[in-house]
Amino acid sequence: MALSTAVHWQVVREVGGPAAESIGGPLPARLPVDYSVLADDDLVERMCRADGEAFRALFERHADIVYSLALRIVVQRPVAEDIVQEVFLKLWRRPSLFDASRGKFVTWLLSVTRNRAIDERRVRSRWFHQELPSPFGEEVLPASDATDPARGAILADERVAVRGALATLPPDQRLAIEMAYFGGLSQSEIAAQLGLPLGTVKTRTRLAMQKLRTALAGREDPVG
Amino acid sequence: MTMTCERARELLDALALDALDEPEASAVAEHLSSCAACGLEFEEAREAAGMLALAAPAHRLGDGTRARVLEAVQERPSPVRLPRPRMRMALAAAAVLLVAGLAAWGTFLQLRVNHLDSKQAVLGPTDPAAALMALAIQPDAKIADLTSSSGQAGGRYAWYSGGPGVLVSHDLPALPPGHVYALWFVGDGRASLGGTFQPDASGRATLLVQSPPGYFDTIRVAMHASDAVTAGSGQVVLQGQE
Repeated sequence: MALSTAVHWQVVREVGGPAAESIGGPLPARLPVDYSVLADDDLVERMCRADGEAFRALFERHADIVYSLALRIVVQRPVAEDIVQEVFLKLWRRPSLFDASRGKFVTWLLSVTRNRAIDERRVRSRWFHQELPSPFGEEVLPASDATDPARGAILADERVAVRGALATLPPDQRLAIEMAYFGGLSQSEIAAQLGLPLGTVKTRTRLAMQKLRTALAGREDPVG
Repeated sequence: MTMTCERARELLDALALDALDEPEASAVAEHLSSCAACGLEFEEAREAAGMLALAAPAHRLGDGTRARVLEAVQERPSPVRLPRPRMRMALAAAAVLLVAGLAAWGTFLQLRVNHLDSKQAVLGPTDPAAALMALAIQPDAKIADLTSSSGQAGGRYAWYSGGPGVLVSHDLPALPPGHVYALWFVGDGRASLGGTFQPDASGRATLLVQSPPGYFDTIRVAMHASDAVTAGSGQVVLQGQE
């Protein structure tokens, strides 16, 4: 089996001494890095050292899922695009905000995205009296075109799993957790909007989440 | 009253969805901080809640936005790059304006500022004027504009990493009896109280925040009843982004 160029030169130097170094050209400064195979945590660590290519890899890997979540919440494309830009530029400015000991990067990234999108939705409705379209209307047909086919396939599988789990829920339970997660509503707000007792909403939320957790138990975290 | 595990487990799913109202949310969080078993279950609930993101229809981010993000990163080659010179100039200008404004508030403040002028280097943040002047010389100082959806109220919050922050606001509506304004830092699903204050007769106010939270993305000024200064309550008067 042929050795890689760098290893070959190292062996020659150790065995042949100075004369051996006269063979061939100069040693390569360093091997090129294939960022696409690096884990998210590794890419974030490189970003802490101002590695722009690491950021590019992370961005290309997760931009679509971040955008999809933001769009689901704020519904308006320009607003969702701004959120994506804001989330990733903040990540670039402060990569140390992510603490790998507290969980997976993509989970953290989506949590930051959701919080930002919910905040935007609240600001527009309360501050500027803009009524955003309901995020619970008809689904837009998905148009995913993952830049990484392998990861795209994994993501598609996970998406099917989550949607499948949600599909097993009674509609009222599913609505309760969707209003909470995508609408950013508290249980009392959900109860007020639906005209239901708070206790009913609490029960539906708890039952829905228990079923969701059971259905998803044992699966790998999405694209982690 | 201490929350039982049974009660906490009834509520932790809602907490994982960030849908639990106060004061239950705080009570559950307090229980989770001291109960490993419930804490583990909460982590499972949070993971499941996080996967709901995948229920969102899949869309591809447009090429225009992709290019904008990557270009913005190229403009800032280092994650620790210093703020642009005009930011430091703006901070210095804001410091000058604040000093001038405070001087009109009374002899005591004017004397204090004059005393501080005679000192050198970094000033301890003993009052908003001193803190803002200290901010003006910090290379990583930032300013966020706070705006109102109605009326003329506005403000600015200035801070630097690891240091204090200063809120300067104007044209705040007069407070009803028994009410205060509160400064909130919101980020990552949490709200931290920066402090409470009351404006002067002209609606101006400054607030020194000795230890702002390390991470936040939204800054809010809200009006609360004095005995009900809690996150999520109150009427938001000003808001700005980090």
